[in-house]
Amino acid sequence: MARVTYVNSEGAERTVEVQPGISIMRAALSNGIKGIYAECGGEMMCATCHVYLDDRYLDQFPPVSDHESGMLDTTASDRQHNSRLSCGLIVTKEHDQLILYLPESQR
Amino acid sequence: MSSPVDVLIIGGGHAGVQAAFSLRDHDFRGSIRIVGAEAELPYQRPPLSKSWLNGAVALEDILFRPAAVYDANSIDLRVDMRAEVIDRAAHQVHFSDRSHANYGHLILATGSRPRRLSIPGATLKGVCSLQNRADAASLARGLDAAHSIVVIGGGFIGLEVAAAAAQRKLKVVVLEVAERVMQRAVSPLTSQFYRALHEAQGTRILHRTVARALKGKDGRVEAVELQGGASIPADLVVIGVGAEPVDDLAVKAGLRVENGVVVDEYLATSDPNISAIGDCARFPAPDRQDLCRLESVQNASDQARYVAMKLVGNPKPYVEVPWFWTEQLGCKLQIVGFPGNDDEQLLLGSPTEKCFTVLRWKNGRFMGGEGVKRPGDYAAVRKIMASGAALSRDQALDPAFDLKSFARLCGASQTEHRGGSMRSTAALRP
Repeated sequence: MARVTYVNSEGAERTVEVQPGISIMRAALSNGIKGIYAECGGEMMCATCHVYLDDRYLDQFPPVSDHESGMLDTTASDRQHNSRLSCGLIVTKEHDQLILYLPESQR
Repeated sequence: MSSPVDVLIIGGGHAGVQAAFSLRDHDFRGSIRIVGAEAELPYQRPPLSKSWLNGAVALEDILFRPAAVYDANSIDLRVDMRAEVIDRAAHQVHFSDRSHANYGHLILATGSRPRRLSIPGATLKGVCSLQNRADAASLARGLDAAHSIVVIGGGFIGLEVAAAAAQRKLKVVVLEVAERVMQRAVSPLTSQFYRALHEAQGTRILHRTVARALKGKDGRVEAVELQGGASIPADLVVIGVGAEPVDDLAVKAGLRVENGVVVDEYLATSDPNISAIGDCARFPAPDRQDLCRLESVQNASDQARYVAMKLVGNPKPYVEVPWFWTEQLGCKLQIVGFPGNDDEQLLLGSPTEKCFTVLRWKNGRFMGGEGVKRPGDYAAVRKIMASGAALSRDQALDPAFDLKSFARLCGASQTEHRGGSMRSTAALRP
């Protein structure tokens, strides 16, 4: 179980507990966290589950694939060095705490 | 029972659900009700013909939101309920449970359904099509039990099902009426690529082939009889011959309907108190002579956002670059632009290495493109299309031409908004 904190573009925070095997995208939808659309249903095809992953946790996930990198070039808010698509960020039992910043817009 | 609803949404698919949440995103304070015909919570459809068939996902993995999130947003979700009649004069919709609701504004988001094949035997057991989760569940069970499958229709759905069947080592035959698969959606080169991909798995694809009848024994399908008389054994038959809009309600209500509910650029039907969005809507597309209708997540979600903006007093004409995808046998195809709308193409990359993009032009005008494992090209083409920049084929043929650099220039000069939310340059946070 990891404690995942979502910080929206206005600075408001929400922390939820997420089971291993669940994506950061799915956890946001399940908990009613606004600012993640995930239109394609987690197939990494729409780039509307864009998040900025706090630098401290960048190396706790597999690196950005070529496909994810291409899709990150289609995000509505600017891509940054810590941009990820949250459908591909799967919580594992090694994760304890995670912090993500939500972009101003997804579309 | 009949207290008025400010925005009543018929349909619990991508369009209907997104419209409700977009209204709340724009701080709409009125009452919102979604009425969906299916018995379960609204869910995402694209995985049904993909990861669902491989058993990789469960219903909770594809729900848009759990029930509590609708409650928390004061979205009154009614499932397992069918809208029967719209009484436009009374601003009222009557439902299958004999209740009715008055509306301030009505949104039709009724979607599309698989086109039926009217040949003998189409109602035999073991013959299925794919529209909803129940269909996908029964198809997955059918695939578990089947040895040989015939897929009628070589479009996206048909080929995705054929791919899932081939991965389970079934004997697979695909029947396609046209001379190539996905003919309406992609260029000949891409059709050829996917044909070879499927054939390498042992799948037989028969082009220019029409099924005449389905033959069975004891009510179960056993074979597909072709025009010309040949017969192909099959214990499972999947029909994927396209979709048609669900526009019956609109027809009965006397709205303008022409193979879809006709709307203007603000997504209003011929009754200004009723909008239509998503698969069921026929809308005026920029740069196109006639009205068009798209069956896609992009179109459903984007039109949902536009209608929400209209209802909060910020109407914008609907202008978005269409995009689509399919995934077959590990090869994701990404498409940008109106499908099948081209007369010249240009190939970048290498189909033999399963990594290529086809750029498309019509009458010299850049129309988008499609690509396999070239997400960078996909992003570039979307940027170029959104910017409206002109790109000629001669320009693209220049050895010095680089698609991504060209797109960056387009992006830099682009000032337009998308979906009503200005492109932001969100400051990087610590």
